[in-house]
Amino acid sequence: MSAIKFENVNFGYHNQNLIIEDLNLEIKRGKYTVLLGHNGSGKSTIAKLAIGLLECKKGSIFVDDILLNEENLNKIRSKVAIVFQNPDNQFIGATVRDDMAFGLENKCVDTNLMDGIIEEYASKVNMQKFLDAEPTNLSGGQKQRVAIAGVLAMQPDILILDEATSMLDPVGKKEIFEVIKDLKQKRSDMTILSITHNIDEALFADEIIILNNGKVVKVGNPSEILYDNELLTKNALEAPFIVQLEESLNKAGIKVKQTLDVKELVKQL
Amino acid sequence: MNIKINHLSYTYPSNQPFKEDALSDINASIKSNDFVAIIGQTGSGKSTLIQNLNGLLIPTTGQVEIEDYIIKKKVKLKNIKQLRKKIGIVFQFPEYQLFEENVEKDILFGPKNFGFNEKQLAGLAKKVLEEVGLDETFLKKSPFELSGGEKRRVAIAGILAFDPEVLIVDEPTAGLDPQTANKIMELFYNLYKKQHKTIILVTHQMEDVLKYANHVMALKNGKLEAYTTPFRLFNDEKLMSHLQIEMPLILKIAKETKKKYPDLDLSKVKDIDSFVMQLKDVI
Amino acid sequence: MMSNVTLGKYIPNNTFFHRLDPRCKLLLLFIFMITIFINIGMIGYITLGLVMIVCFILSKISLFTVIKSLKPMWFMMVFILVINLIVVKTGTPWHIGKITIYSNAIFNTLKIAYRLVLLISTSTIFTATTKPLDITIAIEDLFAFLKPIVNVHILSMMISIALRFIPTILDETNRIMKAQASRGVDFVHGKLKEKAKSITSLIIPLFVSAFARSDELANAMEARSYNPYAKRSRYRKLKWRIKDSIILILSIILLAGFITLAVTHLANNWNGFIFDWIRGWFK
Repeated sequence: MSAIKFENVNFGYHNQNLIIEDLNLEIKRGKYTVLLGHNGSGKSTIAKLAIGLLECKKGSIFVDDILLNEENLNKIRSKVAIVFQNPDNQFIGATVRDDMAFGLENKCVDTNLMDGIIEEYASKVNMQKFLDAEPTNLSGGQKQRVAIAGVLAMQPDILILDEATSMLDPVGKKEIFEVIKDLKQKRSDMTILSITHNIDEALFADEIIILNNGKVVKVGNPSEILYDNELLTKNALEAPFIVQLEESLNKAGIKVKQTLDVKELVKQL
Repeated sequence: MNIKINHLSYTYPSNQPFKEDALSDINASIKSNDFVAIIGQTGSGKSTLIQNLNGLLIPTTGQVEIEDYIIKKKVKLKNIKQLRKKIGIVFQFPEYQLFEENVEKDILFGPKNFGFNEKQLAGLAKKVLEEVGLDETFLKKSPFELSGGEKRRVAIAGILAFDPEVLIVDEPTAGLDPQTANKIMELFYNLYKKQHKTIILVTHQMEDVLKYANHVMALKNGKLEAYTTPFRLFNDEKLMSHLQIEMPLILKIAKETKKKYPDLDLSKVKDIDSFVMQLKDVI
Repeated sequence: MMSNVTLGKYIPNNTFFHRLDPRCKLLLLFIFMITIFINIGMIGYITLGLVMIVCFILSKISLFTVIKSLKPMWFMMVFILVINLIVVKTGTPWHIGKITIYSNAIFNTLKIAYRLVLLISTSTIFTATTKPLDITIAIEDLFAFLKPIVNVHILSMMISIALRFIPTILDETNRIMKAQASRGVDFVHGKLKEKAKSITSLIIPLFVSAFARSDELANAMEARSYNPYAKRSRYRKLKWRIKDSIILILSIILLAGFITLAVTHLANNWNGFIFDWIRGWFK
């Protein structure tokens, strides 16, 4: 069962070169998938194609087995939620409350129910104390949490995080990781797709897809991909810190076995 | 160029609508050809501090001394332009400062403002572009058609072009993929090593602090909590938990390993390679 | 420099005026503006001034805020005075040295100044006691009757987004100015040509980033199923109370009184053209 499926998709802006060429991609339902690629690998374009913000030139895109076209657009958008990179540019309301209400208004949710829904979802990202705060008084991480709560309140089946942590400081990044981990645990039916160049997000993924020049280079689970330093380097990515260390040790003649656990590695030394 | 910061305090005008970060009673001096990292949580006053160093902000009380310049309230700064030529700042997300029609013009914008003559300008753009790892085909391109990483490099080249003696860089790698980020950090390190520039790096990346910096200033709520070497900072657990920072992973591993091999010299562990080398010696 | 704007700033409080329905306040604003523009004569203007003082006391806005919001008027007033001195040649001539000025020039300027003070005071009370968001909702509601012709919702959405992004854009302006100042741009001094260049170095990056922002914002809105033409529910609802009706009726009576005053010649003739226009209308 696929949540999102790309079949032979082509895309390019105007008459320029194709950014994405003959792309085939499948995001499995109910899984946490990480799409890895360097700056300019075409990974954000995929997110925009999947929710119909951009239109592909060739090929077809399916969301929950529904073909993405003009007619089905609204249906598909009600299933897919997306959180973008810049926390400032997706905060629409004047306060946290208003921002979270924005999506509900679009769905024509009854006004009397809104406060309840807002409070419920704000507490899921631990923002219930900031409901009346204005965006200028919130940190980047807090704004992103509001963005996540805002789209979750619309009850999507699929959540896409399009480089949602890349502009945040370490504290903000950590906050978002916690939210994702929590979601993964509590909402096992939800498909989460994280588009990123941060390898740390891939450590607890169900599946990793590596993208380069608008093409899928490799699909696999963390243990298949994260140890493959050559593959990662070739695609302008970096292996997780611990994998780099293991390789360095082995090269220097200090033999260690592969592990993603720091304690395990230290024990071997 | 030595920088002396004496009892510097800074408060923003109270009606400022933004959440900004004040400084209180900062005392520090930065020597020529040093690599200093400034760390602290968002809102600790890092950006305010660096803006006080080239006269973008004037201390509310206290002063900053840089050679003949004294940056102080109510004392008119003579020749502030020359000061800014000597102390270059690369702001966070510097790609937002690009505006010229092509990369070459944008890079030469700073030097022209600082009064470089034709002879000095000739070939300058090409030279600094190479320093940041871009070839001369970029010279005639519009800065707006470049990728994020390329824009960042061009913006940095625009600062390097007027050859400041002190280079202040505010989170130069934020939002970049790891390979581009590494290259940019290596670039600053080379400027420090080979061209003997003073580098002041504002960062959240403790790995970079450990790997590159000689000294580190730690700010919290506008106060300078520590001004020491990275090694001392990361060995002071009390201070680290006070500052809410985490030890770089490599140092954590090295510390654990030291329990087994007591001869391991932690002060020489800077990154993966240096750790592996140290470990090889003791095993 | 941009942090001193007080005109149009909301001042959180819980006064009688803060609690009025924004729609009522918006209507009151219109009524007062009309009244100010009608030539209501000396008695009228003094009454209106007294009403305004009562409003200031009720809304608990400090005198300081009012004076500060009048600040941008000074330049305009001087300008009007100069024009009047040159153009108006009626009234008692006064000789100051070699220059002759006429009393009516001074009176005319004072009259205009007084009206401007009233005008700015009204809008200050309105914006200081009404949240920007509530203003947009009030506009959307009051102009709902225009729905068949224009989509009022789009207008109100545009205003509320503009309001939401003002602090962000100011912040950005500040940042770009500092970045360019570090590249040797002098926004204050310099010849006209240099100034034009420095403004370009600010405006272009500002536009580029504003376009990028609007693009991303549009994506974020569309992704959350926003469609301005579709039916939407609304989170914020305004409540019209009895006191809103009372205040509104009182103000309409006041306005009607002033108009009668103006038309029936009870007022001194202050030769305003609106006055003549209204008189002609009643003939």
